[in-house]
Amino acid sequence: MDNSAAPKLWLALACCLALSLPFGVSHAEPPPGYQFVRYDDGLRLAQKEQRPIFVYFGRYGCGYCDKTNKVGFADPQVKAAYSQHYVLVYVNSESMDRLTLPTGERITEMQLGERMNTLGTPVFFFLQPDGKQILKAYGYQDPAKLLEMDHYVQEGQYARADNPSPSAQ
Amino acid sequence: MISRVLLLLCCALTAAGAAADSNQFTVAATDNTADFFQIESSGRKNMAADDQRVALVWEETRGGHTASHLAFRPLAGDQPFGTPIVLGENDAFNPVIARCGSHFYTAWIEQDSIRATAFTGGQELPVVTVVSGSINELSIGCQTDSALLAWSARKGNGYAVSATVVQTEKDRLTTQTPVAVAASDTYRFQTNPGAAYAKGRVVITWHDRSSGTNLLYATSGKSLQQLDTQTQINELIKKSYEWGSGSSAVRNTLAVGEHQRLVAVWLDKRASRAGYKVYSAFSNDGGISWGDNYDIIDEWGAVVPQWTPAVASDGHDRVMAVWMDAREDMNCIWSAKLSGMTWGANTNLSDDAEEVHSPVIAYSPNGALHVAWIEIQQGKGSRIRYFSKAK
Repeated sequence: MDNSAAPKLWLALACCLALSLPFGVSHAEPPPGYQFVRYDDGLRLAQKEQRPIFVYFGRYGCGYCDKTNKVGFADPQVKAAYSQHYVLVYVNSESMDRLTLPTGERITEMQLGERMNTLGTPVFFFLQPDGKQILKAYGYQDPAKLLEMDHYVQEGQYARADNPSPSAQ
Repeated sequence: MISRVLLLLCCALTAAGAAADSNQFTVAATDNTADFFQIESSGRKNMAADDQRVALVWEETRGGHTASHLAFRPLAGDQPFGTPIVLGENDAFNPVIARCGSHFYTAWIEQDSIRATAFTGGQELPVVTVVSGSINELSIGCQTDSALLAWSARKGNGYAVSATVVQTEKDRLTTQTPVAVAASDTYRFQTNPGAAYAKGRVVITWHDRSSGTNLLYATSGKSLQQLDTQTQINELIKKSYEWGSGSSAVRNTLAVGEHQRLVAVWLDKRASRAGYKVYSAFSNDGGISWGDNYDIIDEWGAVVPQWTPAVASDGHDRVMAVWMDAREDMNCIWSAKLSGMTWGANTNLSDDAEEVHSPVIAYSPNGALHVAWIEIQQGKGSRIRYFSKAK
């Protein structure tokens, strides 16, 4: 991308976001500009494309979600890496919308949080294409931390017993 | 390991202590790990009882699709639950049930419609379609011997809560025109409804995140056609003025206790860590005003998140809340009794060392307690367990 176009693009995105929200409201939706999908759709897509999954459990009102969106995910390097490397899944951890799991079981998004022991929000999971957990991280994530976790997963370091997970915090 | 041994001991002592005047049954079971049970509804109204029988509604996939089932258990002696009745003819989910006067009303979501029926004595009334639309959640309460149904349905890019009254007339059910509970242009994401009737007022609870976080509201009035403006129930705790919109309140559940005092119980995300806590508030004026918020969880449960709270009352002095948490390293069903404005010690109700979840609760008018939940037997399927205790 032409570097000179980037500020204009961000300005346009910011304007769109501002216009779409009531004044004074802080949302914690998935960060803008990312292609997040539902959990059940994401599992199917990951199986098909054999790509790892990045799952973001968020909550409306959640301060650390808001900060991670506006600082962590706003970083262009993070956006490029995560958009390219993962099937991106967002779960509204307070939603009663139903998901259909690969087993056929239908549970709400909130029940999924209960089963994955999400504790609070935000919680981030890196999963293998078959849904097995690679890494779990709690709380605010700055760009450096997000990139560190990406490297850890992409380089397959989780398969090495002598390499501790960067999420141990 | 030590905590697991203590848990087993605790569970065994709990079961032994309750054995003299309690019953436990398996309501339904499957040894196929590909089959699933669900006890899930808005307000967690999946069980109801009078002094003669208790009724439980649930979802299951044993027939190859999601079906809703209802089973009754006679309370005399040690009789188990009877043969389940299948609710609806297609995929059916979010079943609810309430005992209002001498009627057991049940309703469920089937093919984007709410369907309902009632059982009076041994007679099942013809099923009626209450409303059609993109229904997402459904709850039930009683208005004397009629049922109050409240549901959340898609509206534009959000959700709106509506409610109606369902009543028996001779041998059929009649329904009123549904009423919107709050302005959907201001409150654009109304979900998780609950319904009750106290002090001559209809009360519909719901939460909405239009402010940026889920806040819990009650709308009440002398009838659904005379609803007043909404009142916020939960206290909003805001720890940052830079990030986020503050704490949230979700999964509310309602009971009407002694002197028709309303008890609202919900999951509250105000703690810094350890996820959701179970909080409560009371209204003595039929939902017009609500008092301070009270934490139900004791210090032992404060370190883990709580899930799926439910509350019930016998309409007199007994009010109990139940929920699931893993304070002892595995999922157990926990409970607390209300005494005045104070919640008692958290007590484990699950009877063995299997993973359990999704508790629901009901009281008979005579004070008999009924609790049901789902038990996962690792690698061996799952079952619905039921526990009852005489007054």
